Amino acid sequence: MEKITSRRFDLADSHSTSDLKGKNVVSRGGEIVGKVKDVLFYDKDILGVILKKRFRKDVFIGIEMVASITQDAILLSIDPVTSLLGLPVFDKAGKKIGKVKGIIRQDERNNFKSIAVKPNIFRRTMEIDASDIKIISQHIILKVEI
Amino acid sequence: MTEELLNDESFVITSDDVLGKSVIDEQGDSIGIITQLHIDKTNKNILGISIDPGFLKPQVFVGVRLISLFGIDAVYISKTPQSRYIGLIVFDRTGVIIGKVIGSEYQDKALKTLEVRTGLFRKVSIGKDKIQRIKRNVILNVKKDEI
Repeated sequence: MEKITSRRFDLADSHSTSDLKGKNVVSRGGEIVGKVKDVLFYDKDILGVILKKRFRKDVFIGIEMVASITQDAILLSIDPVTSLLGLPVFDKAGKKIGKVKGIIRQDERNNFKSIAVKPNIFRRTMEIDASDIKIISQHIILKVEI
Repeated sequence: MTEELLNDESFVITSDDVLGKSVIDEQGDSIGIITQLHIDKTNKNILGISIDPGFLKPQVFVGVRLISLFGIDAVYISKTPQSRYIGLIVFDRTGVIIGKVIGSEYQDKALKTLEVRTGLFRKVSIGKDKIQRIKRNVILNVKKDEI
């Protein structure tokens, strides 16, 4: 294709938004957190990407949290806090408390104040402070006994 | 053992309380489900547990010394079994999926290589020096064609 630009670069090294749509978005820990639904711009800058997550709401990830954009995937420099949703929660005594149903955040950064855990459909949701969490991985393990 | 101790649920658990429970390692990852309790016939004490990690994965035995808690709904262990990496997806540094871990080799209790299935009949051994980090899956510090 014809190129009109004052910058020197090879078009083959760049990515178009149509290339990126549908590509995997991989978190820092290696989890596929979703697929690229769209790329957002403001003025002339890329703001970030919108992830399409299966069975969950779309998530916007700011470009400052993207480690690299390649032909095959977008690699993030973070483990998005939204990945906590659905994780089983166990307390210090090995008792299953429930699953994460919600994340309470103070702002839009990648951290959280507390999590909402629902034991089952008959019981009320309980809020667990972030400071009571010991480990976050495939499960959330608390420092305390509930 | 006295009858009071046998009836004290805070002190005594039975095989029913253990079998079928989830096992969670020190990193918060699921190892599998307890299928067997092993007992020393001579000394009459518990040697450990057998864990079924899931479909097509080999059973794991964990010695009783590595069990940190027999919990109400899960058993916590204080170490991560060597077979923990089996089944993890391996990404190269550009996010390309290389394959899945099918085995691991250790030297002096430290991970030496991961064996990765890259195709129906193809597999590759990846040294620890090429691994950037292992968390939910494996991320390499090299590109696919550099393996």
